[in-house]
Amino acid sequence: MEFHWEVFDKYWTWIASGLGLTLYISIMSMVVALVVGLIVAILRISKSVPLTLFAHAYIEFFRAIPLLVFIIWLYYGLAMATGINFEPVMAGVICLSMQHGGYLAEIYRSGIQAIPKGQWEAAYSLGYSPARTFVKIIAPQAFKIVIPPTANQGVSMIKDSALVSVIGVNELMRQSMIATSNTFRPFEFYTVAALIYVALALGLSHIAKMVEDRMK
Amino acid sequence: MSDSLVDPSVDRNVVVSLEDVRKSFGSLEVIRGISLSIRNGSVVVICGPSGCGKSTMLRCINGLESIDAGDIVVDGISVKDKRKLRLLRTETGMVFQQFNLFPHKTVLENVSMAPIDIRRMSRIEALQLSRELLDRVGILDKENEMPSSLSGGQQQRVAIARGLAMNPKLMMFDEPTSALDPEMIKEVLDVMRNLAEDGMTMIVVSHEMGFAREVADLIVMMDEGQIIEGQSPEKFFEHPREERTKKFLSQIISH
Ligand SMILES: Nc1ncnc2c1ncn2[C@@H]1O[C@H](COP(=O)(O)OP(=O)(O)OP(=O)(O)O)[C@@H](O)[C@H]1O
Ligand SMILES: [Mg+2]
Repeated sequence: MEFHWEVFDKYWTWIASGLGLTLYISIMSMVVALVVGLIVAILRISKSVPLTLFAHAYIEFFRAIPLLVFIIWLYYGLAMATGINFEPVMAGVICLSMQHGGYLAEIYRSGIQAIPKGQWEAAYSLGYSPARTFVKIIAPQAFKIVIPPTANQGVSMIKDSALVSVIGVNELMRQSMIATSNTFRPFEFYTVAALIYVALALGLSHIAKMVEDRMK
Repeated sequence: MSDSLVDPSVDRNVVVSLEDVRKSFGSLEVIRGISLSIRNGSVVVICGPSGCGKSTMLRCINGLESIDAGDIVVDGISVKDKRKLRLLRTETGMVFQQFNLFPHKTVLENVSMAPIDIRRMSRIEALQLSRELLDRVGILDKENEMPSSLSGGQQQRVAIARGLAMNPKLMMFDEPTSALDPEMIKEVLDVMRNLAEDGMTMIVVSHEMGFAREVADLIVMMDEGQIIEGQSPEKFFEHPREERTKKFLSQIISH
């Protein structure tokens, strides 16, 4: 077997731009997912029955739908049926953030509910409103609980972002595929792509671990 | 019972009045028609067997539980007036069995945050007030500690200071010493005794009968969601009217 690592002489800029887009999509999707997750989690624990039901349905639906199916449905299916056309990157960010928003909502909900009821009651007894109690008393305590699972979710986000290659987004995976078809060097390109994904995932986990340790 | 009650419409000194209060959880009626009024500066100790509704009654007084019938008025505010519920709560301190301090805040922050956030007191004023209160409960040297590094008795004293920082008209205590090791019970009861001597209106759910005998103006015996007897300490201990009270006292004292 022969390796031809010199193919990267010509293609490393492709890979670099793919990596850039992968990071961009992952970060954008994560930011949106964090907001969506928080909103859905708050609706989920609210006292209003319709809002709770909506949040519950959201969580169940977007966690259940396979991401690949969702991406293809949104980009091709919905566009055909309604004429709403998203840019591929936009479509990818929407799908990733909606699904991960559902996962994060569950993470947040369990984090919030892990805080003893007595904390709410102590704040209420001092005259705090529910919203202020959440912001000042509950959220800071829940925050520490949700950091590790949220970081895991970020790792999944990076990995899942490879799926948007199917709608023609030139992120890391698709750039590797194109480079491969131009050079017929699948082993070299896919090995590098895999190593980059692994490095990103490990790097993020490591950062999360440091943040977690700092807060103890 | 009626001899120990005061009509709130006539007596302006009444801080809390309960009028035929009822409360159910699902089909279980936990508070079954309780009436009681408490005058400014008096200390009421509530006792009764487990599950008779003592905690629920306290929680109804500051609106942590809503009531199904009757009325509760604290310092002129009805718990049924949802718009004024938070105002009512600022006038009503509550001390819990499990302390419920805010674990992410220092001792000083625990005491000072509500005066700053809710009373809109300046930071400097609030810190000064909080230090005075921490000093009063004998724990000023711990002001910068986190609650988790304190003993149970110390935590409960911080919780009392936190309640007092809102300058409430009424302090409620739900079994404040029953989660404490025996050697710490006294330090908490001493703080409560001083508070009573300073004229604070207090409702205390407790089975500390020594404390009740010494500090209470009125001892109320509850059973199955009702007040079955309310007496001065002397009468309560020497001549309890009810068989159930006698039985309860003999169990408490013998254990
Ligand atoms: N949130 C709730 N939902 C359903 N039932 C409840 C709730 N809170 C209390 N109860 C029930 O109401 C009854 C009275 O409870 P409560 O806590 O007021 O009793 P207590 O006199 O304080 O008892 P203890 O001495 O054990 O603290 C009990 O049967 C309890 O199981
Ligand atoms: Mg109780």
